Formats: sequence, C-alpha cells, structure tokens
Amino acid sequence: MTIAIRLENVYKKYRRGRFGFPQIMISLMRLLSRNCKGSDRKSNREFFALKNISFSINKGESVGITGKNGAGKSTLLKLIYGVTAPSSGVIRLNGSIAGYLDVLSCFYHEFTGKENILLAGAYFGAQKKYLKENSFRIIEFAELQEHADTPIKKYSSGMFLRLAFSILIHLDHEILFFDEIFAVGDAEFQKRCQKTMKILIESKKKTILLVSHNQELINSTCSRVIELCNGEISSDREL
Amino acid sequence: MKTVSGNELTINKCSVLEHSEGQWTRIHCAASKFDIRCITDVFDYRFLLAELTKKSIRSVYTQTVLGPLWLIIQPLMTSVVFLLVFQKILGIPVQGRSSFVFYSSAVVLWGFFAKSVNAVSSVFISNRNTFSKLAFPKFIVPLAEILANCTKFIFQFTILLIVYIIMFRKSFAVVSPVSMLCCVAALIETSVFAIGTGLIAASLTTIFRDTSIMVSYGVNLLFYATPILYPPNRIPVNLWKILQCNPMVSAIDLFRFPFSGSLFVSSSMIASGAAVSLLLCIIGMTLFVITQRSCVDKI
Repeated sequence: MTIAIRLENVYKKYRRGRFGFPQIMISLMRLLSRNCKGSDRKSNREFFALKNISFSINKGESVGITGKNGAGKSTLLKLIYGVTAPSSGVIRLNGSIAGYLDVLSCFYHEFTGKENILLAGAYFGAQKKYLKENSFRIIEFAELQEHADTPIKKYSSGMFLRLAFSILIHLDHEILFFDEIFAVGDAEFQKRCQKTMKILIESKKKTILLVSHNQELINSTCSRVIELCNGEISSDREL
Repeated sequence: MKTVSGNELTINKCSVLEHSEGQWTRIHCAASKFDIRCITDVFDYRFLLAELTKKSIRSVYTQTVLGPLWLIIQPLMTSVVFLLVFQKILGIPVQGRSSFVFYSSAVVLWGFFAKSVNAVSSVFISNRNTFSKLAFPKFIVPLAEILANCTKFIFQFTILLIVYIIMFRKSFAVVSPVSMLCCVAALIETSVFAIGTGLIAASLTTIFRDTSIMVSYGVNLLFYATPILYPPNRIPVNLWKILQCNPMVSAIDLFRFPFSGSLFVSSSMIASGAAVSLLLCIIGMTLFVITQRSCVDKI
C-alpha cells in the first residue's frame, strides 16, 4: 500500500490580534531595548491552530475530518494543499492535489460558465487541450447545458455549486478534498455527489479528504474519521 | 524557546529526507520558505497565465459601451491636452516633426509603465482571495498583469504607427528594422523596470501597506523626471547625472526614435538605464520569492 499523504509533527502557529503599524513600532522598540518581558507577552499573543499532528493516509482511502468550529480543520487542509507553510513539521504528498477551500475564489463572475471551466481548471494546473475536450462532460454533469454561455454572476448558488463540483471531479487529480461543499445543493444533487464520490473512491482509487459537520455524509462515504479538537487529534478511527 | 529548537530540528530533518525520499511529489515544511518553484513552475501553468491575462484585459471593459475604444480615446485626449497646454500656452519646444506624435508616443509608453507598476504593486492585496485559497505559482499573477498591459500597449502602438504613416505618407522609414528594434528595446526595458519596482512594492505591502500608496504617488512624480512634456535636450547637464538612473529616460527616447528620427541618449545612458531596471527586477523577484510563502498569513 502506498502512502498518499503523510504528516509528521505538524504545528501551525498564528498570532492573535491586529498586525499593523503600531505592532511594527512596538516590536521594533522591543528589539532595540531587548526587553525580556516583551518576549513573554509575545508568547501570550501566539496560539497554535494545529499542535503536533501526525498521521498518514493511504492511497485510495477516504477520510472524513470532523470537529467543532475552530478545531483546525480548514487550517489542516490549507497546509496539506500547500497554500500556507507549517510553522514546523513536514507534510509529504504523493500525487497531485486539488479541491476548494472556498468555491468562489477560483471563478471570475464576469466570465461565462464555459470560460470559468477553463479558468478554474487552469488554477488546478490542467492543460488547455484536456479542459476543452472535457468541458462538454463537465457542463453535462452540472446540468448547465442551457446556461453554459451565461456569465456566472447570474447563476444561482446551486448552479454555481454544481459547476464547481463537476469541474473538480473531472480533473484527473489523485487527491481530492472537499470543504463543506455540500452545504448548498439540494437533496437530489447531494445524492448524486455522494454516488460520484463513491465511484471516485472505489473504481478510480482516488484519495479523498472530506471536511464536514454532516455525520451521516461522512458515515456513508468515508472509511476513516479523524476528529480534531482544539488543534489536536482527539480520535482517529476506522469505520 | 521550545518551538524555536523544534523548528531548527525539522529544518535539518526535512532537507535530509528531501534528498533520500524521491518518491514524494510534494513536500511542504517550514524550511521551504525560499521556494523558487513559484517562478520555475510558471511554465507548467502557462495556460493559467493566458487565462489570467484574458481576465485582466476583460475586467476593465466589461459592460462598457465603447470597450477597447477607450484604449485610443484616453491617450488621444491626454496628448491633445498636453499639446494645448505645454506647446501652445507654455511654448515648450518639441523634438521631431510632429508635436502630436511627440506627445502621444510618450503618453502611450508611460501609460503602459504606470498601469503595470500600479497593478503589480497591489498584487497581494487585490488577489488576497485567490492566494489564500489556491495553491499555484504566485508569480503568474504579476506576470499576467504585465502581459495584459503589454497587449493593450501593442494595440495602442499599432494605432499610433498607422496614424503616423497616414500623416507622413512620404517617409516610410518609420517601420525600418532598426526603428522597430528600438521600440522593442524600449518595451522590454519598461517592462523589466515595471516588474522590478512593482514586485518590490508588492512584497513590502505584506508588511506595511504604505508602499502601495508610495508607489502610485512615486509614479506620478517620476512622470516629471522623464522627458515626456519636454525634449531631453532641454535637461541641464548637472541634472543629467541624476536622470540617467531613471530607465524611463532612455526608454522614452528609444521609443520616440522611429517618429523623431534621431536618438538623443547615448549608448552608455541606455546601458545604465537597463542596468538599473535589471537590478531592481532581480531585487524584486528575490523579495517576491521570500514573501510569497508567508504572505497568506499576513495579508
């Protein structure tokens, strides 16, 4: 069994409070005066979004990530995806990765549905030829045949979500992650998504990370659940 | 104290493992702060570069009636105003045959420079959403801004050439290889200078936003330190030494060559201008590579 993702002692540190001009002046003055008390205060302002996270995910595994708000689920995805670097620790990936941390960010509202397929696909590193060949299938899966030439600013949130999901599953990435993507779609589309995800896992051997509060969804699609609590893994169990 | 020592430990571990374990396609760790891949991966994402360029061009002209006609109207009106104020009212002499071409050629090149610098310098602020949600070589975004402005510039330049050829039908020497080479050189020098200053400012905006204000103001001031409203031969000798450092001086003069028929700047001035812009470009790219990794947590 090959490993798709491995995390070793990953920490992510953030700073509390505002970071701006006064803070720069304060830190400069501290540097100049070498005030020992200052560094104490500094450590108070830092907090760890993720603390000592280590796990590995095999290829073809589908893992659900749960936890309360602020438990560090999205930060974990950000680090695995490579949007931001860990403060310490190592993350290793085997295979290309794609997914939405936020569905809106890779679309441009003035472009039509078709043009947005090209833009979003390009953000995930797909080539022009591949996208042009597959754009028909993407539109078909998203059920947007009539609206493919409409600027997406006129789309409803459901249409938008269908397009986004359809683009992601038609790209040929080995690791896919979904962050609360099922919050908007209707029941029928959610069912179709779950079915497609099962196909992706079972026949296409994709590795899937699914962040969700929906316990039912995780139970039906995932084979393993990692629960986060205050930046630490509180449970890691097979289903 | 604990975290600092932990940090150092992983840095060593990471660099060792990176060499021994070749099967991993991607490794993210704290040590990879100076990640040159944000520039070297650009080729793999060339389609994204094309798409972002398209987006940048389209974004300005959506829901406008005149659309790309604005690209002609703006420099045209500016040149007419300059002509009226600086030549007719103030009586500043021009270089070359036509005063309209003297102003409009400089206006077009300067417009390219000013727009590029402003776009590149606010790259981190205006693309906060994509940078913090998507992992792709970030250098593509400033590059796409430059390319988009370049496309607009080439469009304007073509119109300018056509106008000039119609105005002076007898002198077709305008489109000789030498003069076109001068224009290309001017375009490259301006782009490199714009990328350099823009990237330096953009990298600093992740710490303090002052630089983006500073740059847009600085570009306005630099306008007067560039022979746009006056011919370069009016600059006093003692000021030349300072103005030599401004790459736009030689760029504007090179760009005017096909229209004026004579070069004022010497080759050493062109060389010094090119050196300054190249140096700024290297500094800017280095700063960009350093800041792009941590920018997500700061902007």
